[in-house]
Amino acid sequence: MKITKLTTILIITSMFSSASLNGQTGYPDPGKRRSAEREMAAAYPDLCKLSSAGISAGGTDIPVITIGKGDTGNKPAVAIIGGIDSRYIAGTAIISGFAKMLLENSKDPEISALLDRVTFYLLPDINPDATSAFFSTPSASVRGNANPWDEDRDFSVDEDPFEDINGDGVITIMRIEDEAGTHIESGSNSAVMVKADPSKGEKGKWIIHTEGRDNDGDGLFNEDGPGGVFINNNFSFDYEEWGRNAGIHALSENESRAVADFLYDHYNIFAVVTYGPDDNLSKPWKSAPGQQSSPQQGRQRSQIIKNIQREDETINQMVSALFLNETGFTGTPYNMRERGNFAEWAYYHYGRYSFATPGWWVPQTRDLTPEENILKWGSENGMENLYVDWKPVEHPDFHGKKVEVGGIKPFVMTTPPESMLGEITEKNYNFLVKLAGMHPDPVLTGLRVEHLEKDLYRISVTLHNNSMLATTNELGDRNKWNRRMVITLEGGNDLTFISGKPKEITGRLKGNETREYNWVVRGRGEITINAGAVNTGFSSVSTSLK
Amino acid sequence: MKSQETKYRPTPVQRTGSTIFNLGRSLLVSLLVAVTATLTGQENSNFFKAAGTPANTKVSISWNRYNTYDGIMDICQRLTKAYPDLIKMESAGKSFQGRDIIVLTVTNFNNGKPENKPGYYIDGNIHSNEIQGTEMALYAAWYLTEMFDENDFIRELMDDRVFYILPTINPDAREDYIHNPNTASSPRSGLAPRDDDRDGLFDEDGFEDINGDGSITTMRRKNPNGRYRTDPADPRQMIPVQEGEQGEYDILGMEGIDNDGDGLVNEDRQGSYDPNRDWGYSWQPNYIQGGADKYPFTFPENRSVRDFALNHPNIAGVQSYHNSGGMILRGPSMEGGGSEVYTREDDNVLNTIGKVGEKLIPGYRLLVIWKDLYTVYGGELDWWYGATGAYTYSNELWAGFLMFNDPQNNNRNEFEKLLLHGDTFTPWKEFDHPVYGKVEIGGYKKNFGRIHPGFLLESDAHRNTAFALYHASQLPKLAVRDIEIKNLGGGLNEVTATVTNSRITPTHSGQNLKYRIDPPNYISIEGGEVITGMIVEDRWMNVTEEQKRNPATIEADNIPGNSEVTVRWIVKGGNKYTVKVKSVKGGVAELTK
Ligand SMILES: [Zn+2]
Repeated sequence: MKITKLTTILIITSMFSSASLNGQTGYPDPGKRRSAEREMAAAYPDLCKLSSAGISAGGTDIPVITIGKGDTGNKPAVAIIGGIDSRYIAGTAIISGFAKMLLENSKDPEISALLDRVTFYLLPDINPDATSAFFSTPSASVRGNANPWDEDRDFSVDEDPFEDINGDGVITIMRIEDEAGTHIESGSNSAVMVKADPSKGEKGKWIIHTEGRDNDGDGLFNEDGPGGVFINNNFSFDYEEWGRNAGIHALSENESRAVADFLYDHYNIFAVVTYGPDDNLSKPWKSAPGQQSSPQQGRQRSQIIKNIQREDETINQMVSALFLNETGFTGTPYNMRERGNFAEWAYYHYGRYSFATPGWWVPQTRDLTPEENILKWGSENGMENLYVDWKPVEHPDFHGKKVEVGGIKPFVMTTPPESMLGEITEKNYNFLVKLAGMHPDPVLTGLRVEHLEKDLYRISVTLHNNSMLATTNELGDRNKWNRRMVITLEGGNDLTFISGKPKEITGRLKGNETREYNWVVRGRGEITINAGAVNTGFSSVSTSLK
Repeated sequence: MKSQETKYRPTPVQRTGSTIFNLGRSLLVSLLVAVTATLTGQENSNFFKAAGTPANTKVSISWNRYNTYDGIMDICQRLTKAYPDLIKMESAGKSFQGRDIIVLTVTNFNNGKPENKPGYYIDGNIHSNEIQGTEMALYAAWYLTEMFDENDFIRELMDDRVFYILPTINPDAREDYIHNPNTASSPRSGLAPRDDDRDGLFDEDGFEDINGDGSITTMRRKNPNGRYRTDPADPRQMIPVQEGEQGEYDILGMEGIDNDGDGLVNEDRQGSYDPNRDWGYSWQPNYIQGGADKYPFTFPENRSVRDFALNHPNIAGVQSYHNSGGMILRGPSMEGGGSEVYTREDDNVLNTIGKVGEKLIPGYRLLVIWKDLYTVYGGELDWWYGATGAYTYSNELWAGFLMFNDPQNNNRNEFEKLLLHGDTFTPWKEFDHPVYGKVEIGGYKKNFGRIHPGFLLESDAHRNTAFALYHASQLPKLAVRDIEIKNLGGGLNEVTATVTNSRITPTHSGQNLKYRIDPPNYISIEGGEVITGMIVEDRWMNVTEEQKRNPATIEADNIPGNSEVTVRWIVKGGNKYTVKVKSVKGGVAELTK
């Protein structure tokens, strides 16, 4: 990453910004973002439409931006999803910025041609209840929607929220000096608390809690705050029944249902890109023996498929290489995978190509925890407001004890400074545009008509997939929520079919694969052969029998 | 959870159809009630009570036929009118096409609040063609209300249990099964349109009733090289030809044409999903679990039941009727994942009660779904157990055994001929088929093979109801007994109370305990100032576990079946103490001493 040149700007920003509570500044709040989107849609009425996928548990609209030309529902489409996890606010900004760039470049011949062929569905913020936590005071890393939820299953709901004990507008960490302490300061940065390791002769000095009070007197701190179900734990692939923030069942929440319904209603989507904690763009998913879904390859009846299929793995590797090449990103983000996540659902249950990335990260450093790593990166790049210095406080739950509040600020781990957003967005833009250009592309070629006898004709045509991507991916081909291509032969005067059918549902084509079709018909006149599906686009050829 | 209590509230009953239609129907209903009342007077003086069947009935119902949706509504309304203190009717929600999903609450409303009694839930007909579950469920409602005054066992059940009876979970497709041409096996699905062949068209090629008998029967075509010939034992039937025999017919499939000209017959029929693979526990997608749809609870009918269940956490026992095969099915439905891990206690409860079921319903076998049948993901039964912790069975109604009461004789052709006198066979007749040319169409109608013939319906309804009532009787029954007061001096009393559960079912199943589905049992004391409270683990060795927080209300995680829990308080002052127990699935009880 080219970050050094930004350092000076960053220092200035952090010095003069008054709203530097999160360590990041200037992210547009949802209200500002929405009005910018409205202005954008108004400026490009032929290319951009705003709509709603549904309403969050807290009553906020879940916005959809459709960008494309003409009959957008009948062209292959890429869906780009953000806001699945409120810690990844950058993704929302990237998607919003992508929309703006795409529209501003829409006169560019290359982009114009792309928009002739492909539709973009952008859902920048599918969990708006949680996103609002970033912008509220005190700012806390709250990931749930507004649905009241009994996190600790003690049969009272939302009874123990965070409190801003030191009144600095952010919820950080409290440490309580105690003989039985388990943590010490990290040698790398004193803002980070790490577990004492007895094998290294370390002895714990502090007990650690998140900043707040034990409101219900159960000995736990902030274990059941307002809300909420984590939308990125609420999807049906590898869903954890009775998981802590997983909801009453998979896709129980307004937000997850809204996004799923939107996707199911749009059969033309061939790929989903997720900006959030999950990642298969720096590190592709891996196939595994015995995990091939096809019965011919030995799948047991009812066996649950938990690994990417081999052919899809190859595509994932190729797209990952494209991503790294276009963005210049290096290394990999920390593995933040959780059960019931959206990105895996989009592949395993929705049956589409699914690509996921945080959109920005600080590459892992060997032997450093993620917190140590980000602070090291911050100090190397002149960022000084990423954490709060430890300061003693009076805490009513710990009378007579030394209690200090401080540590890393919420959202720091996953959120680049606003000043970097432009460059980050541009990098992601370059990737997304290339990816969309790779849409499945079945093309009819080599139409031949042989006159056999009187009004008897043999017609042959070749259907070729011009893309590297398959018309449906290997796993999705077995999933009924993917359309199959249909090939039809229509027209003529009283056409009768001696061999072949007027309409046939046809199998998938792998990337660059070709299949031939033949008919023997009796009749004359203009005929048209049409092939494709909404998720691949259509191709047609005509000729006349005479 | 509070959130669930406020979130899911059933809507009040709203009848479908026009106002005029409704007026007409309520007029008809009151007329029927009037007629029934007059008839009842005559009936009851003219008949002698058969053992085990209510004699002084206020609502006459024929248990040898099947009810349309309006017929179901009519029975429910008549029962509600006749027994306002025993049965209430509400809507749990709307079906896809907008019909009310009717639920009956059956209990003695004059004895305690329904929500304070252990609940027993019955539904039927989740598979649209499996219609007799509805009649079984209605029989239970009728039997409980009509027998209330005649039978002590029933009165006691109605006093301290509540029954939630949902006659049909799938009214739209029940109507379709009854009114439209179908086979005995169609539709299994509900009626939301689906693109089965994934060509972008929805439900574009269904059955056609070419011979007009109201059923979809078989199409055959004469062919000397065909694979079938006439069965000499019953010329109506066809049998496969053996090596060296002359063939007579090809079987072309079920009645229908190629509606969309794609060379396939009946390939995209209405719906085609499985409402019993739509439930939010161990759900899997369609390429792993056939019949699964978009996600758990895609369908409004099932969502209604989910919401009803979450609003009635007192439901501790469940029966969901299917057909066929004569089985008492219990979970788990899958191996290695989800709710497959039943605790030994849960296993025992299900086996003990299920074994009684085998006795009550001869020919029915108690089976574990994944082990004895097949794997099911996203089934209703697993949801009830997994998400609510209720002990759940699914009876597969109707068994070949019932034809001759002979496990060796499963000959349905013989049964149909000798006992039903050919009533349900449409004779073969020749038709011109647009694709196949000259064909013959005939075969058994849809009311044979999977649903009971009339004369066996009441008998099996009674047996299955008896099993449900037995299961309901074995839900927890709590009592506070033995309040022992010991004066400790200095104005302090030691109060020890024992709470018993005198039935097989514990207040909390293993699943319930594992995931803390329900709050614990609350055992509280009134009548003095509580200094401390504790659970007595061993009364004689004085092993106790103190509860420091809120000691006046002791939290007992479980009161196991046929077992007891002892609690103790040290109390200042008071001379009369009331001990109360409140349990979500175990009901309430109290004692004062
Ligand atoms: Zn069934």
